[in-house]
Amino acid sequence: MGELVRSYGKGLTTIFVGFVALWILLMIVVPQITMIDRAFTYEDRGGETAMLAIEINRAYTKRFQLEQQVQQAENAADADTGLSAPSVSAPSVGAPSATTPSAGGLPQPSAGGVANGQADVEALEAEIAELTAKIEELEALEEQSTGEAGVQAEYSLRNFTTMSGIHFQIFVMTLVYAFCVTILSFLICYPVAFVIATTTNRNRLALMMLGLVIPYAINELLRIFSWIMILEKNGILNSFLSFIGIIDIDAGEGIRFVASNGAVFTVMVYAYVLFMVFPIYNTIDTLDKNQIEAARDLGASAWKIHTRVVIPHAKPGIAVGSIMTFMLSAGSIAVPEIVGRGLHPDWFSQLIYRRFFEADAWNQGSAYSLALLVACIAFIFATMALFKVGVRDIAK
Amino acid sequence: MRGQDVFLDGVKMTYPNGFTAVHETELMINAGEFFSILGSSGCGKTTILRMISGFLDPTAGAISIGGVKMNGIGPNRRPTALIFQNLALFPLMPVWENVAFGLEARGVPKAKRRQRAEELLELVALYGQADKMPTELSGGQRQRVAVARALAVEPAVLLLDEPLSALDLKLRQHMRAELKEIQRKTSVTFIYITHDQGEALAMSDRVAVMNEGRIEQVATADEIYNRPQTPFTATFVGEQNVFTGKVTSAVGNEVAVETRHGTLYGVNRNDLAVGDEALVMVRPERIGLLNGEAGDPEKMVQLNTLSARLQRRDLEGALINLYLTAGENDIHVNMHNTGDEASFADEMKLAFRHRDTVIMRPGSIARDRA
Amino acid sequence: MSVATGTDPIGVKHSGAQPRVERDWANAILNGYVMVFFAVMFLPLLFMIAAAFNASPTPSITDWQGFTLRWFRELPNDQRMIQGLWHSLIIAAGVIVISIPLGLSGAFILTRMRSRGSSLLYTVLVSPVLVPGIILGVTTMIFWRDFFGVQAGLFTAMAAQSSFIASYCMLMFMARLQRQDRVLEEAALDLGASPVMVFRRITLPFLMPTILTACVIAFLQSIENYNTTFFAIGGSWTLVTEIGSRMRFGLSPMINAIGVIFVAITIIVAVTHTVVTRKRA
Repeated sequence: MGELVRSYGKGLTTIFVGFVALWILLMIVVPQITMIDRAFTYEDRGGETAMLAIEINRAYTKRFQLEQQVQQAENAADADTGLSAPSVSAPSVGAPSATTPSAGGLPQPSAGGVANGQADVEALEAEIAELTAKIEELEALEEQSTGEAGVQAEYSLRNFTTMSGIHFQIFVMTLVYAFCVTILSFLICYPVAFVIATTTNRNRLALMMLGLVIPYAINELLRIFSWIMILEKNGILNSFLSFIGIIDIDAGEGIRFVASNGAVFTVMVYAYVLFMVFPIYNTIDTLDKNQIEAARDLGASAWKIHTRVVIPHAKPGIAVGSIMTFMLSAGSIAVPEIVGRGLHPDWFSQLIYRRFFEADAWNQGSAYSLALLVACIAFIFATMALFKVGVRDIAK
Repeated sequence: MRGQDVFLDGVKMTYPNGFTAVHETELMINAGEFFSILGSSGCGKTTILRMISGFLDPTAGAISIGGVKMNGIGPNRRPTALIFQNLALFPLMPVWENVAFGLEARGVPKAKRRQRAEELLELVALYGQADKMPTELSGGQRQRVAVARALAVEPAVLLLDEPLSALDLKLRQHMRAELKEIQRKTSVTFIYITHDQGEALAMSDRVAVMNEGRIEQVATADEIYNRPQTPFTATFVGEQNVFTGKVTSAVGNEVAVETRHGTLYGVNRNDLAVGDEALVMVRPERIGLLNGEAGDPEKMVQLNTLSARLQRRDLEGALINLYLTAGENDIHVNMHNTGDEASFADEMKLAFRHRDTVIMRPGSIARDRA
Repeated sequence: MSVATGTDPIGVKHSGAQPRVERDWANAILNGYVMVFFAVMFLPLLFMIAAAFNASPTPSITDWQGFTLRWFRELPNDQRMIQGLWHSLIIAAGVIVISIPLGLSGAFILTRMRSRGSSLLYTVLVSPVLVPGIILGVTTMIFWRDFFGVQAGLFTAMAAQSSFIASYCMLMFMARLQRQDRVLEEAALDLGASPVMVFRRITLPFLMPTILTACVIAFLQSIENYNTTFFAIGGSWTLVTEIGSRMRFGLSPMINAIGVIFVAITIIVAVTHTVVTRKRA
């Protein structure tokens, strides 16, 4: 502290310390503690309250969907009436209804005349108003029942112990998958990182770096999305298979690649492999390339050169890459949501999402989150121990 | 500008890791004096400088400047200005803003700052360079900017931390003269840190020789060179031929030491007594050759003599270096080139005056010279 | 002599390792592999781009129904997307305003703190980078509701994103500060500057380029973020969460059109950056 005051004076030191204190308290530590607190608080809900919660949730979802329809109807009215655009304005269902099966069966906006659309909108708006009133009523009820004795909270491990077998299995499988994604990513990108780091031609190097940076900088969702086109039932991969005669796509023989474990796994590797390439590249880049020459000159085999010279030097990079890749895949929500289409067996992050936003079981959701957090921290410590690196090496 | 005196009263500095960089030190630096602290790297001279400028607080004792105790007063509120070894010019500011920085800190309005900066730049012969960036200047010019920047705050004490070490020899000699001239003009107290004895001896009114956190001797340059008080000072400043022996007589001013090369006499400035272990030292340029013919017996009484074998002779031009051995001792003689080549035989008799022979108790000897 | 690859009488392998031909083969395979890697990286993106110009109402390149710019033209009419873009920009602005001061404060403290606590502080401050994004979203959402009764929305998304973007900014500032010459600060202090003036005239100008870079990175990170935002934003939406929710239900070439715009911006920025840095080098 004395050192700080000496450097920045009392005023600035107070400001810096204040900011950091706010950061730690409001954005890191207390939020975590709140989650942990909830994770260990078991709420024994009276049946009535639980039902109310679900009903409120349904009402919200319904209202949200109606609002969407109103908007679409208005859009359709604005647009050329002759234009049929069902798929363009596919129901853009927002967060709350995420994976409810009913989402797919929504009524499509009628693409009739302008007057007709106008009438529709009015009807929908009336319905929305009705729902809003209902929600208020229900929420008042919920307030009451919660306020009385609807919910009893106590500290216990039950949020964890009540995790169903299938959920626990998903938890374990998520970690196993994430681990496999990490290993596979390393195997895929180590040669790439090595080649780029040992490239001496400056133009080629710049080109290859661009080749890494561009996909890295492109939004995760878009990279995931680009794969769906390939893996769709009448997508590029099936067309290709049909073209070479393995299947007949016109006869409906297309293989449903999306929503399979393999698809989720493949896309995940694709989406996160670049987080492995950069740290490894950065560390190999700092290796004195003469060491490789020297080892080769001393008669070391290619295998020996890598296991004894390059990989030991690249350890911090491998550790960082592994931690990032594992953390991203274990906590991935985008890949299973988008590739999985709600048909794929759940990823653990999706379970967390549903605990919070569908089951309205925040405490259980917190418990699930905490389990995931602990697993990630355990992985970080294990990796640090395995590669013998410290925190300061990691976060570079 | 007026210089002020600096007083170190029992100052001591021990770092948190337990290393004592400066042992208890008493030192008075007079107002308006050009004072040098000479020592090898790690001797504690930079620590003393940082304590005077206020970047370090002494663990014991007190520093006063102009009679005012400085304990707890930060570097920005002391009447000192420091010229850093690497000059520490602000790279993102033009020259004039560098020079006027201290005035900016004192809230002087911009027009006035600019004017004062121009004046100071003129003083250091940099007129017209005000709007350049420091990176556009040569080494010597940057040096002058640093001096101007330090003088801008009208310090009572200017501290210089080996500011010339980055310059080449020629420029360094030129800057020495310039610094001395600036000091004379401004009469600011200069405290100059260096490991280069040439700089210290040439510029300073007084020199302090430091070794391992202690000041060995504080005196004028002549005094330090001719009458060193410790073996370290004697060997650190200039070169010495060193012999060891035992005191056999100490009468009045004169002391006789029995060595492997016979009895050598010198002036007893250190109160040696019969039976004491002693070092006998003589500088290479104070040794002459005794060419066979016996000299004036009257004069011979004042001379130490010894026989040595010539190993190597290096001609430097105006000077000649002779490297000889006498028993186990290596002896270095440095003499004027008189053109008398025939005088160098294999076996030679060397002579040096008693008054040039320094005799003192054994102690630590400098491993490398300044 | 044809004993080049054998062992000599005392059984030591000849140095000189693999013969050249073998190494050339290995290099060819390695380079071929890297080519395949880049092809796999880029092909899906190319398909996505191509489909954006296909008149077919489901994004496809196999079923080509003619070139069209219709999907681009329809974008500005999509109120939810435009609204989402606004939300994204608002959040990004907030994230920059929050993250830069926090990151700077953390960096200033950590580069000057010598005590043992600094290691712990460092770990705490970089932890958001190492924790799954959904956890940051969840904890932020819970915290603000439980403590302040703030419902999940734009503000919580901003707070959740800032918690880890500030860490990134801090790491960038620390890297820069470690290259700072401390002597400059001492020189300024010695000339009578107050710590505030040293900060304003020496430290901040030195950090300026990094602060600008950090603003750009914070902005991009915020705009592109999905995981954390998805959880923290509650009933509201950003451009990216909206894209995400549409992707889950049927494909629309409008998504491809947005993708093309994203890709174009990315390529322009990346190429400009490469060209600029290469010129400077």
